[in-house]
Amino acid sequence: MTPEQVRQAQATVDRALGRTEVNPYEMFCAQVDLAGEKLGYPADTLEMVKRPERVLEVSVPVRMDDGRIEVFTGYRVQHSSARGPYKGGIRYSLGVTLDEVKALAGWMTWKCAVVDIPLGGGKGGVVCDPTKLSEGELERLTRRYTAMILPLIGPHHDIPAPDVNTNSRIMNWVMDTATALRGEPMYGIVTGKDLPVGGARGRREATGRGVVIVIEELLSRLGKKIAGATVAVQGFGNVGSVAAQLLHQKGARVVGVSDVSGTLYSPAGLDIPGLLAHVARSPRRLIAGYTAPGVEALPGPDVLTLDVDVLVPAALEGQITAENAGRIEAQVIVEGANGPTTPEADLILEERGRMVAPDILANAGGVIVSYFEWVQNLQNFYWGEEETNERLAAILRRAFQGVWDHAQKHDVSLRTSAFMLGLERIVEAIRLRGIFP
Amino acid sequence: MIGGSPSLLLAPTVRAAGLLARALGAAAAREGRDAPGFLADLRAGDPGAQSAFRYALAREFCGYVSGLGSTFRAVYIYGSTMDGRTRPSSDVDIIAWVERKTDTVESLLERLNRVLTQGCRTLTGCGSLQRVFDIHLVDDEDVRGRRGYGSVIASVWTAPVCLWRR
Repeated sequence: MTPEQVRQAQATVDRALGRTEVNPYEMFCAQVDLAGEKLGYPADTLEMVKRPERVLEVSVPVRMDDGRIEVFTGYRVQHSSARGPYKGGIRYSLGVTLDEVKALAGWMTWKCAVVDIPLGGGKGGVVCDPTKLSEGELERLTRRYTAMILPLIGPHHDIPAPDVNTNSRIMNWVMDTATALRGEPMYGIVTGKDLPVGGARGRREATGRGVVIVIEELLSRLGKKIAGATVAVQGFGNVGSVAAQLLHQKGARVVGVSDVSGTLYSPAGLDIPGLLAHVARSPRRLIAGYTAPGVEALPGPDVLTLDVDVLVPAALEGQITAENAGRIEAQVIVEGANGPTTPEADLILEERGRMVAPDILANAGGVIVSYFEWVQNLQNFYWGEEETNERLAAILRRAFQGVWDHAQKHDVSLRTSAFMLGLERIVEAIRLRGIFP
Repeated sequence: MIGGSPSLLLAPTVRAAGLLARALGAAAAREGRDAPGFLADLRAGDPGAQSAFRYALAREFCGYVSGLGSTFRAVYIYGSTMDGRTRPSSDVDIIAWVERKTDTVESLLERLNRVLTQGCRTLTGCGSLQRVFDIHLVDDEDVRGRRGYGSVIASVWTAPVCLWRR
């Protein structure tokens, strides 16, 4: 083909496909079908598990600061309540689509089932660009969206949480709006709130803490220990920094960390408390500018290919790709972020004998402590951080054991094992409950 | 809170548009047509265009799997794409020889197939297309023991065409 033919073909296809994106719900269904086939489930059972139980689309009129009324579109998808009340975050983004929300709601059903907490899956979203909204507009949007989905959500029915571009402040507004409209305290209607209004101790550190528990479990299955292991961490936000800190405390040598501002490398191991203090002082909470004897700065993505025992990708999705998977030295990869390994890279890592602890398990610490927050709200009795951490460890260790055993039994990867195990639990709940009427 | 797409919702990173565009361009060039004209032929259900496009898609499939480490050993094609009986809803019959059949390979190929099928339906306007590829995975043992589609590879009477070999 000539360059002109290539250009013409690309333009022709672009015109024909328009803005068609890959449908995440289609990917979700593909995974259910594959896992279901391996477990020998009939097509009608899988159809039931794939489809969301309920989908709500709402229009959200908001009075903007300049006096205009802008009407936003919001969704709440309730995927499955087979194992308990729906649970799942609310995201604010221009990229929110119904198919994305449906897929993410399904993912939450699986995540709760894999770690065996008594919750189902749900998800919500509003199509908006929160960076372009003032504080007042954001609050009015949140309160109106809450009012619009209020018929569906509730402490015993559907419990939202923070997700992309939403945070504790927004969750506080959700709780306050529900409380005002229902005329009674509604702390348990949402998780991820601030501590004084029903938040859980240990929530901020939960995901990073969970990552470390999974590392500990996986290493022990390979006859290794955290103490003395070398580790690289990509991402130094809430997940990566907590994981690095706990690994350091447990005697691991964290030799490399990275964030958007760069990568730091020290073969002798970084002084993580010192680095955390630097980041806390840094105006943008970045690692750039940190200096210490023996520490060198590397080009960004190099942290992934450091010669270490354990790699924790805790930054963004799609970081380990077909291009760099062949150069990953770590024997153990524990996914702190969502989807850091592309499907192609997964194949290459498997061929090279690397063990990958999948995100659905490795970063489940957050949803587990969300569950704890909800339990405490319902009881109006609050635990200390130590109790939270102990219970988190117990649940995650049991979940890891389940996924590990299932992988051995079916000779599949930990990722497929987790999905199969989740599917088994969901189908079992449906079977026990029966079909109404 | 963790953002991004969870692993089980991720599509293969081959962008449907890129792969489809290369296939469309190659098939159009082979048929001596420009891309818009060739797409019009495809949408009209022209059997020659259908065959050429599917053959080009199969070649793109080879290019894709050849970049995935050394898991894939060879790709064969057979059926309607090769004998000119292609219809708009026909799939491309492929035998993919891998070192070992694993859930990770199956998952990747299933997702690839769904992404491409979605793209092809939109591109060609054929909503009845069930799937672009009908992929049969065989491994070393299947080929050695002439089991299932492993026996088809060595068949004298219905030998598939080897499109790519490592």
